[in-house]
Amino acid sequence: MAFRKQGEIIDNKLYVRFNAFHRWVHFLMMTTFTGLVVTGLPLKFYNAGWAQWVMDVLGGVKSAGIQHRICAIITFGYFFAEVLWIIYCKFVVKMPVFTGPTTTFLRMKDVHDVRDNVKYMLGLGPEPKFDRFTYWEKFDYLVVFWGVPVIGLSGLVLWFPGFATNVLKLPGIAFNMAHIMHSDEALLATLFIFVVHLYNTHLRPERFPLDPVIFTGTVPLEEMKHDRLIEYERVMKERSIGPETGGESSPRSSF
Amino acid sequence: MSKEVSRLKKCGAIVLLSLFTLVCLAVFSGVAWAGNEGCFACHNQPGFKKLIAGETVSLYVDPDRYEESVHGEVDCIKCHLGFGLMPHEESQAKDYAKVASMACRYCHDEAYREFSKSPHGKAVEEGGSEAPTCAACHGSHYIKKLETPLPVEEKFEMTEKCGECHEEAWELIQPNYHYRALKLGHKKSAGCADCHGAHDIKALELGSEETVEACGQCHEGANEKMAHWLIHVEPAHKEAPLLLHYLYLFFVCLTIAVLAIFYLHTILWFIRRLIDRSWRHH
Repeated sequence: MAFRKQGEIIDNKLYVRFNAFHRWVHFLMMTTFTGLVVTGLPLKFYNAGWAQWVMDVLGGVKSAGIQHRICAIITFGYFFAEVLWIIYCKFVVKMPVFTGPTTTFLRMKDVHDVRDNVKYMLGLGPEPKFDRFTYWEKFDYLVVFWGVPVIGLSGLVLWFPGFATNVLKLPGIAFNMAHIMHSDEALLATLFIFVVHLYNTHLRPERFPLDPVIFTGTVPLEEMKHDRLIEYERVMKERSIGPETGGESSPRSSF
Repeated sequence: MSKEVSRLKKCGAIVLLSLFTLVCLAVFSGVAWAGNEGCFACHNQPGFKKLIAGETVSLYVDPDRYEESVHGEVDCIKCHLGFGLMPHEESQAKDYAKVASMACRYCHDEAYREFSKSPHGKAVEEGGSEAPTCAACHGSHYIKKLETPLPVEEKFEMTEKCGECHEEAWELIQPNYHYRALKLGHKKSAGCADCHGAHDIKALELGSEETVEACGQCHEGANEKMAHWLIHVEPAHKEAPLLLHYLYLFFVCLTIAVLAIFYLHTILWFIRRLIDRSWRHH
């Protein structure tokens, strides 16, 4: 596995959309999220027929609990890694992380894109042109900054009741609140990721059955032209070369 | 002298003979205890029941199951006091069931002593068919030998038993982690009796010393704040504390809103692609 720089063009054909760091964070996120769901859902749906079976397969409730907590620790790990990455990009490399064209944060263009894409779906207009991250990708990214703190912090309260009451001096009702937050937000996350996110990335007819970019990091330039024309044109302009001649890597300007 | 002696001898013989006859009559009229088989001769028929003091009571005991039970060697009359006479009189006493089901105390005196001081014990004193007698929780004739530690399935079954009378508490414990973990087989989780006691039963008030002690059995460093955790609460119910109820409603609304918007987005997008067949440029 070569450590390619994000923004590189390989063989004039492949664009490096995600570097190794991006791909590792996502891989950890994917596996631990699935682990958390599998080890946690049987408790939420404890009366369902499958719940007992899943717990048995996991080695019992206690064992499932340990696996759940291991996944949770890794989740905190990659979450902080991503926060550090944002800080690094903004303050060390000095990229326009929050406001630039390649940001994962919402801009006015995204509001217009929602309107235009919905009009397109209803047959009332053309498909909008997208930059590095589409509005649905930004939403997928940003909700993690809601979900992990809500589920993570409430989970920590439930995990360390002694600490919560003796050190943090939380009142008893905090456990009840933590339970609601943890359980309900986790269900929302599950129903969102396994349906909406999976559709956006792999199940869409134009991607079906799998879009390998999150695993390989690369996407064909031709595909970039169709799906992210604005980013494609800017990348080509930055290199001041046409698609016929070879590409060189340019300084990382993209988040 | 000899005439008197022979008369005495005659009287004595008659007395002895009468006594002997009486004893024979007594024995063969069935006054003495004939063993469990004697009881089972009638009580082994399924469907054998009787109206006693306004209630239909089953009088059937499965002899094989009884023999396999932990009390298999115990004489029926050890608990069913006063039924040794055959044929026995039918009891019409309203509190007969209470008497029989409380006979356990003659062997299980420590448990009984704890029990009699508890609210359950006092309820039995007051009587009534709903009273939590020994048999109400433990059953009467088919009690299994106690395994230590108690298997988790049996611990869970006991919580169902508590729920038969304490319906609301049972409803409100459903969301609780301890209950769900126990149901799914977690050996170290707590059933009703782990916190409330089995025989020395106590209602646990929020924040009380007793409650802190109950938490402290498993949770080191349990304090008054932990003892204020609302264990028996269902946030979905309107009567739950407002803070919890509204927090719950918030998440329900958030979930419905987010999923409604994005599931609709997904469906519309999918339909558009089908209509256009616009994926074919790849």
